[in-house]
Amino acid sequence: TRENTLFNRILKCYENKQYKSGLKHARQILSNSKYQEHGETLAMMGLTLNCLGRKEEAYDNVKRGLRNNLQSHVCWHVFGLLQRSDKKYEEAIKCYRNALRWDKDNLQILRDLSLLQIQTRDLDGYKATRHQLLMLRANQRAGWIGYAIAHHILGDNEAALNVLATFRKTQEGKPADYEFSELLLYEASIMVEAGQYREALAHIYKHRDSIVDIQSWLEMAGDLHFKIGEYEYSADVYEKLFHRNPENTTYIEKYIDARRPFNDEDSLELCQELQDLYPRSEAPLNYALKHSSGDLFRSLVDGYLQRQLRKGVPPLFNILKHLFQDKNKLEIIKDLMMGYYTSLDENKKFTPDSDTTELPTAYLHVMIFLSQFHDHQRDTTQALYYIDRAIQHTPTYIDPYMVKSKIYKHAGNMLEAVTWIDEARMLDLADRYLNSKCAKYMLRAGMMQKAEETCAFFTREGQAAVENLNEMQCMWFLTESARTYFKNKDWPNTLRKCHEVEKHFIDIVEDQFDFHPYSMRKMTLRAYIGLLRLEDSIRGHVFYNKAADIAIRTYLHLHDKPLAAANGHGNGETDEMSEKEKKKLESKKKRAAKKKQKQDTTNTTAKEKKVQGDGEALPPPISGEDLIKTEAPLEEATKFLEHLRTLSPQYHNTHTLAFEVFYRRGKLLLMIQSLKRAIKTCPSSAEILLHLPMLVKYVETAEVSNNIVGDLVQEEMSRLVPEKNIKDWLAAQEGLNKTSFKHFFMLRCAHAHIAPETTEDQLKAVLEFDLDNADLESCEYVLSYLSYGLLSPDAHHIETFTANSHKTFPIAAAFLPTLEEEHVPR
Amino acid sequence: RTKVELIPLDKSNVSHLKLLNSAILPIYYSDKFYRNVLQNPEYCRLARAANRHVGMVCCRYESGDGGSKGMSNGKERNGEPDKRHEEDDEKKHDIDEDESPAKRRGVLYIMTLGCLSMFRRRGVGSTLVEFVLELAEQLRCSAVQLHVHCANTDAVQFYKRFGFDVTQSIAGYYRYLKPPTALLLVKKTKSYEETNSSEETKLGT
Repeated sequence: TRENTLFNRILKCYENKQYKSGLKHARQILSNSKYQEHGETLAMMGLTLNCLGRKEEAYDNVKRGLRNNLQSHVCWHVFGLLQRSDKKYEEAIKCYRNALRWDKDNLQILRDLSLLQIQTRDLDGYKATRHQLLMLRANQRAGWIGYAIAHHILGDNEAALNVLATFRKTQEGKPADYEFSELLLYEASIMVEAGQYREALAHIYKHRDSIVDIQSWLEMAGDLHFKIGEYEYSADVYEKLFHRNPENTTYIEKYIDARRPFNDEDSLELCQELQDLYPRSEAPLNYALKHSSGDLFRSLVDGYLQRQLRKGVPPLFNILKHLFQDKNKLEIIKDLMMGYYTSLDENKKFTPDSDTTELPTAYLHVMIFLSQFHDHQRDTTQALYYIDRAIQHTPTYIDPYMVKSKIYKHAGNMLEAVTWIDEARMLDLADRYLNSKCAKYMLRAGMMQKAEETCAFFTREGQAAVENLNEMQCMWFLTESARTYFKNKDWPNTLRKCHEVEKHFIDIVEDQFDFHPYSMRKMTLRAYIGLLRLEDSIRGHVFYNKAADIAIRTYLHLHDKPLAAANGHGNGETDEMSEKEKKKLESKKKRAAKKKQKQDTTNTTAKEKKVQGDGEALPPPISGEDLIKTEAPLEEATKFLEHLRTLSPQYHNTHTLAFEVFYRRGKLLLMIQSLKRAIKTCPSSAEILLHLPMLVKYVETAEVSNNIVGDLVQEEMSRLVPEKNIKDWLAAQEGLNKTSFKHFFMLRCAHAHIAPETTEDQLKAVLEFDLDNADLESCEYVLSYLSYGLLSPDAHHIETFTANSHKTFPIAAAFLPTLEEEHVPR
Repeated sequence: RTKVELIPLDKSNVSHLKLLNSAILPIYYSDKFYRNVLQNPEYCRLARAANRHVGMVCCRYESGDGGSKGMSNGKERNGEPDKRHEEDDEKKHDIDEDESPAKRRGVLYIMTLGCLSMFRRRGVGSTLVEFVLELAEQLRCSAVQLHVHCANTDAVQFYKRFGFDVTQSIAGYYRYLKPPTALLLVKKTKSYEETNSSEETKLGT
C-alpha cells in the first residue's frame, strides 16, 4: 500500500539522519484518518522528534504509539532506543526484552541489547545474547568475535580460545590482513592470561607471517621466551627490539635481564655493549647511572652532566632526581656540580684542566641545577641564593623563574610562588603550560578570580572560563578549586566541584558506549579489552582520589557540625570564628555574590546562543546549595568512599577516611577492617594513633548483641592491641614516633580521647612542642586539626600556635599574621 | 664569536626588552618608553644568542626638521625624565640648522643598546651596532648619535672601534648618576660623508 512505502521511507530517513523529511512522511500517514492512531508510525515519529531535540513530544508520541500497538516489536524497540538516548539503560534493556518477545530473532534488537548489556556489565546476559546472535548468523565474523569476548571477560579463557580457534578454521585460505593479524594477537594475549606460555609462543611462531604488528609480535615473543626460561632466545628478541628503538629503557632492562648477569658489573658490561652500538642513545646511559656506583658512577655522571649542561637541557634535574635516593650518588653529583660552579666562575671551564671553554649558559644551568638541588634538600636559603644569581645572569630566561616559584611553593608561601610563576608567564604569554601552572598556583593561593582570568586567555571566548574548563573536563582545575573552597570552608562550592568531577567520571564511563560496536568492527580487540578494564577501574585515578577525599571530609564536616536549616550557612560555622574571620567571610560572600551575578548574566547569554545553536538544552548545572542540604551526609560520603575502598586501596587516606565515616555510622566491623587496612597499607599514618584508641573505647561501650560478631570483635581487638591495654600501646607508640610532630599531636589527641579530663594538659603539650623539630607540613596539619576542634582549643590557643609556627616558618602563608585573600603581589 | 640573531620587537617580547634594560642599564625606563618603542619597532631589535635574549637596541629617528620618530612623544624622549636632557636634544638640532635646508638630513639616535654582562665579548654588541649603522644608511641619515655616561670608559672604547667620536661633554645630563656628565658620541654615515666630499670636490673645480 501507499502507507507501507511511506513507512519504509520513514525508516530510511531515520537511518540517513534526514529527520525533517522523515517527519513529513510520518505526518502524511497519520493524516489518513484510517491510520490516525497507527502505533508504529507514531513511535517512529517520536523517535525522529527526539533526534530533533523535541524530547517531550518524542515521549508523548512513542508512548501513544506503544499503547496503540503493544504487540509490535517496532514500538518496543523504539521505546528502548528513546530510553537509551536518555541513558536509562536498565529501562531500555526491559524494552528490548519486550520487543524480543514479539520477534525473538530480530538481529538489530539483539545487537542493540548486547551493546547495553556490555555497557552495564550484565556479562551473563551479554554472553547469552552473543550466543543467540552467533547461532542466528554463524557466517558472520562479528558473531564469533562477540561470543569469544563474552567468554574472555567472564574469565573463561578456555571457552574464548575454543570459539576463536573454531572461527579461525573457517577463515583459512583468506588473505592475511591487519584485522586478521589483530585477531591472532588477541588470541595469543588470552593464552598469556591463561598462563599457557608455550602454547602462546607456538601460536605466534606458527602465524608469524600473518602478524603484521611486528613490534607487538617481538614484545610478546621476548616476554614469553623469558617466562618459559628460554633466556637466550629472549635476549635475541630484545636485542632486535633495542635496534628498533634504542631509547626504550624497558627493552634494555629486559635484554640485560635475559642475558642473566651474575652481578652489577656484568650488567654494566652488557649495557656498555649496547651503548657502543648506539653511542648517542641516552637510555643505556641512564641504565648505567642507575646500576653503577662509586668511581664508575662518578666518571659516567661527570661526562653526562657536562654534556647536558653544555646543551642546556632544562629537565636535567628531574631526569637525575631519582638517583638521590642513594646518598652516595647524591654526594657525588653535588660535589661535581660545586666543582663546575667554581671552575666556570673562574675560567669558564667545567674543570680547571679542561681544554674547552664553555658558553655562559653552562654556568647558568649549573646555578639552576644547584638551586633545584638545594630546594630538593629543603634548604630554601641556598636554593634562593643560586636561583637569584641565575635570574641575574640571564633575566630573559624563563626556567629560573619557574624554579624560584617552586622553591616558594615548597616553602609554603603560595603568594610568593604566584608572583614568580606569573613573572615567567609574562615572558611568554603564548605558553599554555606556564599559563596553567600559574592558574594552578593562583588557586592554591586562594586567588580564585585571578586564576579564572588567567585561564581565560586560553579558553573559548564568549563563555565563562570556569564553565568552559568544566565542559572540557579540566580535572586539575576542578580538584584544585575544590581544595581551595574546602580550605575557605565554602562547603557548597566544595561539594559542587567534587560532584563535577564525579560527573565527569560518569561521562567517561558513558563515553565507552560507542566503542563497543566500533572496536568489534575494527578488530582492535586487545585495545578493546584494555578499555573495558580501564573503565571498570577508572575511579581509581588520582583525580578521583583527590575529589573523593575532599568530598568525604566535607560531608564529615556537615555531619559533625550541621548547618542550621534556616539560613544556608549555619550558625555552627560562624560561632567559632573570631570577629576578624567573620568579617572576612562576610566580605567574601558579598564578593562571591557579585561575581556570580556577573557570571550569570554572561552565562545566560552564552547559553541562549547555545540552545539556538544545536537545539539541545544543556544539563542543569550542579547546585552546591542543594548538595549541602543533604539529610544524610554520611551516606553521601559513603558513595565516594566505596569507590576509594574498592579501586584505590593503596591511596594513603582511603582507610583512615573510611574509619572516620564508619565510626560515625557505628559500623564496628567495618571500623576494625579499615583500621587493619590502614595499618597494612600506610602504617606511618598519624591518624592510626588516634583511631585505635577511639576503636578501643568504642568497643568498651558498644553493645554487641550478636555473639558471633562479639567473638570476632574480641579476637580482632586482641590482635590489634596484644597487651589488651591501650595505654601501654600508646606508651610504646610514643617511643616509636618521637621525632614527628604530626604523630606527637595525634598521640596527644589519643590521650585526650581516652581521658577527656586531661584535654587541657594535652593541648598545653602541643603548644609547648619545640617547633624547630617539626616540619612545615606537620605544622599545617596540626593547625588544620586544631581549627577543626581537636583538643578543643579556643581562639587564643590557635593564635598562639599560629604565631609560634610563623616564627619557625616565616614565609609559610598558612601562619602569616594577617593574610587578606585579595592581597595580590605586584 | 657566538651566532647572534636579531629578533624584531613586538608585543609578545617587549617584556624581555624591559628585563634586559633593567638588568643592563643604570637608568629606569617607564612604561611610556615601552609603549613608545612599540609604535616604531623597526628601530629596535632583540639580540638572541645561545637560544635566549641577551641584548637589545632601541633607536629613534630624528628628522632634519626637528621632529622625531621612534619616540612619538617629544617629552621624556630618552625615557630619562630630565628636562635638561631635552634641551640638549634641541641644541643638537640647532647644529643641524646651520646647514642648508637642502642638505638637512635626519639623525639616528641610539636610546638604549646593551648586552648582558655574562654574554659580552662574543659579538652581540657589534652585531647590534652594525645593525644600527646599516639602518642609518637605509634611512639616509647624516649621522648616528648617542649619549654615554662619562664614567663608562668601556662603552666609549667600544663605540670608538666603530668610528664614533666624542664631540661634546654635557655636565648635568643625568639626574641620578654620578658624576652626572654625559658624553655625546657621533658617527657620520658613509653616504653623508660621500655626498659631502663630492660637493667639496665640485666646489674645488
